Amino acid sequence: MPELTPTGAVDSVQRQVRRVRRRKNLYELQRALYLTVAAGAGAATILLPFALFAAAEVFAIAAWSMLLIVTGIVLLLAGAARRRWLARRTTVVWIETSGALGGRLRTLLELAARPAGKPGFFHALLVAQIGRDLETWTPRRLVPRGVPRVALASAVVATVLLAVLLRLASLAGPAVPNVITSDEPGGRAGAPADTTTGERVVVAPGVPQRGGDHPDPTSDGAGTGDDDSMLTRLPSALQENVRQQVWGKAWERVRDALARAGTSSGGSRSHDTTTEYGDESGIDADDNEEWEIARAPSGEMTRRRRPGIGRQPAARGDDGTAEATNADAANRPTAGNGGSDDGEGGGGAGNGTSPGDLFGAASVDGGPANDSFELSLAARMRADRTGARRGAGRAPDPDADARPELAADQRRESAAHRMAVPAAYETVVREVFAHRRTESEQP
Amino acid sequence: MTPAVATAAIEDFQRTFAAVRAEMARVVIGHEQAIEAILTAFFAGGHVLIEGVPGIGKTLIVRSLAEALNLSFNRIQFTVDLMPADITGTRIINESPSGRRELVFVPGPIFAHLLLGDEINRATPKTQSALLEAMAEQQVTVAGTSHRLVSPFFVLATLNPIEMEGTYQLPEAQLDRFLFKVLLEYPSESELVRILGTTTTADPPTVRPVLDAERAPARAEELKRLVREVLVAPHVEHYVAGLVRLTTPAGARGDGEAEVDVRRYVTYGASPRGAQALVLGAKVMALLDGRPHVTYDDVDKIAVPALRHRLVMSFAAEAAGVAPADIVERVLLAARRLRS
Repeated sequence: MPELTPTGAVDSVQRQVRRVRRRKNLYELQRALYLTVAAGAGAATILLPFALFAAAEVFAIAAWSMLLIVTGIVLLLAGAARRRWLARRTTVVWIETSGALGGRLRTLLELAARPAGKPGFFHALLVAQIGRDLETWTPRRLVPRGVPRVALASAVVATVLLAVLLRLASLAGPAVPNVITSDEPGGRAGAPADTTTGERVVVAPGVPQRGGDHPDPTSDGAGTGDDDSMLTRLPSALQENVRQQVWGKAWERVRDALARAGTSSGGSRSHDTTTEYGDESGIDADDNEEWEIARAPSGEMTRRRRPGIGRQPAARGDDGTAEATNADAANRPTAGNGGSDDGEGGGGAGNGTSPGDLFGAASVDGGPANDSFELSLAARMRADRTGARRGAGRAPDPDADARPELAADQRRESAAHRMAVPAAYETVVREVFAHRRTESEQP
Repeated sequence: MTPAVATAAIEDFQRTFAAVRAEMARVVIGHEQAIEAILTAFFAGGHVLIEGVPGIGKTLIVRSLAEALNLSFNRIQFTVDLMPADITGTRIINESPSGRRELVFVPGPIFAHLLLGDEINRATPKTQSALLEAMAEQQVTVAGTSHRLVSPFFVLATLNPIEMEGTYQLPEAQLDRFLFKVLLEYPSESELVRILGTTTTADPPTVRPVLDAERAPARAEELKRLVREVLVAPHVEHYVAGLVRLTTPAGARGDGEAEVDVRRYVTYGASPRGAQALVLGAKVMALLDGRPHVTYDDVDKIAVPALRHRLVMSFAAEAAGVAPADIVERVLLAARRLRS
């Protein structure tokens, strides 16, 4: 280190002060950053199992709690970083304290900032002492480490833990729900014996959710009821997103199965049918439950029908277990409604499982030449989950099926499911299924 | 000025200071802190007020200091009938060999390097005020003519805290002119034994001069100038200013214990002279520590002797038995927040 001269001493000292300040602040910045990363990764590591395997309510509680904790930690880190941050004014004081300089450095710089005057008797001595001490307060000596190792290690460990957990979670994909189609209401063709009795649903395509919109599986949390505020929907959306990111296609298959099932078998929920209809977030608790949908007596015949009329999932085994393809899943963005807006029918709509099999075999494409008409049809049947299983073929309560608003709404949306009915039965069918309000609205 | 010369000057100051202190310690048993404060005030260019009971060694300290520095020394025993002219000097009619009569100024005892005003509070205020001009401006005015005092000029006044009858309390203006106020405590038992052993023998110890007789005044002035050259950074000046402000009721606005005590017990706080005393004393402390600049700790070291006689205490303080030094100590604690 060259000896300082009184004239250039201040400049040299100020340069070194700036270097110390830069190094110290960079160190503190890194420290705060790494610890923030560590806190975030740690929180994500803790939240991941909740997101993948816990119910929506549990995940929501965990997510909000973790958000509060992480926010508190980040605030503490910010406060600590602010205290340790060297402002221009406090840098010299910190150097004096850290380097045990006894006030020499500060005295020199402050006196140099005064209006130029005659250098004092001791000015040269002060400069010489500071020049001798320059080596004692170099940036590397005052801030020995350029990287905060503990903080960095914390961030790395937390990130690695999160990555490992993500990998393990992606390997342990979700079990696809065993969606069973059955010709018989409540039947379990080809399905193993299961003591649980799920709800049996005949999905009415095109039946909107309450409020008229199609349900969004990623936006509505289970048990939220009518509270669909952003804060309430955020955890469910996050959970759905996490599952989508972690499990990818496996989760898509699950979601597609759930979508085809229309509702989960978690019958313990207390919400009305319409709300549960589009709810997926509670399904994860019962991944292995079987799902039942009613279908036409002859699946082959249903599949052969023209597109748009009661189209079934593309891939279906002979044993009745359905597994939708990705393309099929992609064509079902509104899981739970059993159909889409393009007129595609739901899983069990129009397949002849309606009470009494009103229409019998579907006719070919309708048109004036065939002397038939098409009628949008939706019917729903639900079996008690815990109660005794109904006998096969037993019709649901008339009251449950008498849902004129479904027909009205369905007609308003689009004819999602059509059945060709001979013209001779038109009057009777219209009288049975037509909505009064709709009829009254007709001219 | 090269660093080597400055370093040599500091070392010379330290050697001289230590030598004088050692010589005084040969005859003055104990009172180390008082001696250091007196020497500090001397080199800082101030005056010292010594308070102590009779027979405790006040005069001995001053005499020893004069002998060690090899400077002229006078003593004035202040009594109630002492007149100002007895201190400053007066004009007398002098007849020259040619027979011509003229008024000639005869210097009083104040014309000495070291002046001991013993029991200064026994003189009348008029006589006490005769010291004011001398202490502040280092000159006296007699019959309209100002007479410059010798340099260095150092006043050591003593106060007897007992036998207060027939005494005149020193006015605040005069108190303020003393750089330090030093309290002499009773010696401890061991110190008393040493005093008996050294002062009652046929060959009592004597003080050997540290400075050469001819150059002593110049050397003393040189050392005093060196003290003034010590660097004081603005942050130390701010600290001193804040410290002094805290001793005043108007400046002690906070809710801290010190501030509350100041408002309750102090009627008038330290003056700007108090701040000057702090800085000058701190400069001596810095030199003694081998530094060319003043730090906070230097100020703290001499805060009590520099400030305690400048605080005018209230009746509440007297009733509560709160001494000015207690207030200064509390203010020092509170002033730590001013260090930034």
